[in-house]
Amino acid sequence: MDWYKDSVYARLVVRRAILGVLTLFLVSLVVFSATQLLPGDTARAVLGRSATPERLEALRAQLHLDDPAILQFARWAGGLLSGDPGISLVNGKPVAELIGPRISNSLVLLGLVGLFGIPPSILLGIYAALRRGRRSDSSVSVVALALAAAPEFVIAIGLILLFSTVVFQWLPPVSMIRPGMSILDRPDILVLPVLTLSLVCFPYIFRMMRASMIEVLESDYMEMAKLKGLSPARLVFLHGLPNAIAPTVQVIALTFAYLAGGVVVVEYVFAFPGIGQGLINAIATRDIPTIQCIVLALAGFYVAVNILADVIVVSVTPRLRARAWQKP
Amino acid sequence: MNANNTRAPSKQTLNRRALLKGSAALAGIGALGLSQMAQAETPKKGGNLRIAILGGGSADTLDAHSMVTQPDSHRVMALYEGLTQLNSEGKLTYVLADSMEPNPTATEWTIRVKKGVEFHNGKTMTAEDVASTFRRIGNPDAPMAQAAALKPLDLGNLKVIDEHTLKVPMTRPYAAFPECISAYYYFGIVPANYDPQNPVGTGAFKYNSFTPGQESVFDRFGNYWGEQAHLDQLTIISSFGADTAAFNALQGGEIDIFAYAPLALVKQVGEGGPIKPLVSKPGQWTPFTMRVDQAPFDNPDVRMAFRLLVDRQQLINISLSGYGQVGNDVYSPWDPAYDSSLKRERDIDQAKFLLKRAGQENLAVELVTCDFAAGVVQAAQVMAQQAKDAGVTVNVRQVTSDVFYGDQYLKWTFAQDYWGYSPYLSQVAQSSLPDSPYNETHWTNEEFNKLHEQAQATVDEAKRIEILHAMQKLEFEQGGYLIAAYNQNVDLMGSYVEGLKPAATGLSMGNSAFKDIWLA
Repeated sequence: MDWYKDSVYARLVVRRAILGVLTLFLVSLVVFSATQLLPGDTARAVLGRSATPERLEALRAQLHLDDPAILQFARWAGGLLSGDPGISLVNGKPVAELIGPRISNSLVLLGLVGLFGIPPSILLGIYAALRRGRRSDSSVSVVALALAAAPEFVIAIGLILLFSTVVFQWLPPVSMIRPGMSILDRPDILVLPVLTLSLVCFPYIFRMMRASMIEVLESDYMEMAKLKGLSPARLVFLHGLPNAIAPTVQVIALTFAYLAGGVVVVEYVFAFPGIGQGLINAIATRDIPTIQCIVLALAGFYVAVNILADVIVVSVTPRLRARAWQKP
Repeated sequence: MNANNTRAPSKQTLNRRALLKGSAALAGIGALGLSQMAQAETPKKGGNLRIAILGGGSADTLDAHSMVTQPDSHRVMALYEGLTQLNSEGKLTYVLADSMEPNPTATEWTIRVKKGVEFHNGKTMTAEDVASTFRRIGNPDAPMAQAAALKPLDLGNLKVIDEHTLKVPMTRPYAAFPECISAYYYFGIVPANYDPQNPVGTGAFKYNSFTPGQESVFDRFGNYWGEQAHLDQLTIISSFGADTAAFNALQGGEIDIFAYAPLALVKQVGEGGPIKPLVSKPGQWTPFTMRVDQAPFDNPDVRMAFRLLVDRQQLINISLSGYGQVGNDVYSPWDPAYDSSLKRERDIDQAKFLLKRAGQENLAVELVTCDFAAGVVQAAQVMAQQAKDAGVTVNVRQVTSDVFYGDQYLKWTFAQDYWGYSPYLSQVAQSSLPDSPYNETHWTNEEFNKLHEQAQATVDEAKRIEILHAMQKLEFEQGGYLIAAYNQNVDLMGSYVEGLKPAATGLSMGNSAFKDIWLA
């Protein structure tokens, strides 16, 4: 009887993927239009102080910046469809070569946050729900609220002061790596950024987990299960968690989607060579092929994370599974 | 060559090594004191120096002739050298030229290039390389950043006399030629088949690797013609977006030098700690620019009133944390031709009088500022405060750099800018002639232009200095620059970084004296 389950997922994924591709196209169109509205162009940005009329003209001709915007967009989109993300207008290097390492650095960072940041948030959420109303619950909740109120860079700088410069000198205060080197070659530089981001997303996941867990724990079927004499662990993890996790999965997905593009502040503070800094550089220089590729990568990640979250939510919610099966 | 009658550097300054040895000994006894003499031991060889310079991005370049940002300028200075350059005192010296001699009318120059200078690719430098470098910079189809400085050159008729001699005919007299090509971060000599993807020069460091917006690595060049660098490797990191990150990295030992650090950090690091500052001599300048062809600044009285209402020392104390020297609206203070008798004091009464005479009482103007160098925005705010004393309202409008250098660049009515140090005539060529590429004040004055022509045709130094004084006087009285200060800049470095001395060129790290650096 498993075949229909599979097809539910397949149908869900395919439909979402098609919508996702459409979204990506619209995003690239919107971003391209937005770059056209920015003051100045690549030639001005590259030449900076030395932008004399003669040099501007020469560079614009060299970079084909005088072509109609539609033509520039078509040239880029055509290249991408044939598998070539293009050449950076600014330094003539392939875009893939420029942003590839940054994307993988950011993914490593996100992966580690997922690995070390999310399970503790979920567990603490469950713990607080079980101890709801007691002192341990309220103290964790206060910490979570305080963290939610603190801007990312405050957390980052606080951690640097604590672990790298003023109090202890245990960890490097910046996350520099040599180009070409993998970020995993120096795990110590990842500790503070991962810790910062984990603390940043902790409050949201924790609070959602705590709220939905409380709701589940107070439901009739949990009362019933308890009366049946199930062990507390079985009660919480087998009966409570699957029912409480769905909203939290959505929050995790949103948090991840936000982190993918929103770690700029952390990259800034730690000089971490990630995608956010790459995007800022590209926008500052009006490097349209690079901007487009980074935005597409971010939007693609957003779409993928959301599809994944939906699949997980559907798989833990029989109700949704049945509905998806009935109404293809 | 007769040292008296040419703009070219005198023979005495030519032997740089002898000069350096002599002055180092003198300085060691005189100025530095005992503690530093103890440190002046024999330099150690080896090590990798890691320098953070902010302001880089994906447009970073290693091209010898089109640098834009501060990290660019220092990368380029590691790789390339010019025929002439300013030494750390701001004085003109020969580097790759043995001599540069003009004919009596300064319409033809004979350049003798140094013998036995090797490029990083093993090729020996010849006059042909110099000619092709000039042609590359001045190429009318793809002009390089300082193409304007080579405008007087008749590039089609450069004559290679022999392997080491080049005759450069001029289309108009050009007595200041050697000093106008002394900014070697724009005029590095490159081999005839130069390709910026393979950045070959003659500098003490050669290319190893380069990732725009991140870092560039250079190795000691073993066949350097002069005294070799002590360091094995030099890494310039331009990935930092924030001062705090760079300072943290320095504290955490991830970098060795934080160049162009915020001035306020000097007091924070204190003395005798693990981090020490190198405070440069005043060199950089960040003038207020008033467009002399636009109201209200088209009236010389208004320009003078603005120059009189500024309290220069207070402006330095606040906006530069005191790291500056009072400027007097004339540039190039280290030039032998600089007229140090030109002084300007604050005079609110006179400013008010001039404004009244111009019919501009209760004047309100907009000052466009941008955070492109230390203290610039603060200076704008301080000047707005000071202007109130004369009844002038200055509305400060801060814009981002893409707006500042956007369509209105060089057209703002009242704004600011920043410059490194250049000798007087070189600066004039860049910013004070009708055809100057960066004439942001739109200064054009017939008498001034005539004097400039005369100066360029005068090879006798004493006579030319007289003319230059007259030019400075004109700018002092009528010009569009308000130069309140010559700024000092600060590098912070680990206490183990040795060999650097303060420079007067506005360029950090002792005018990029990378080959003098050693790690204790």
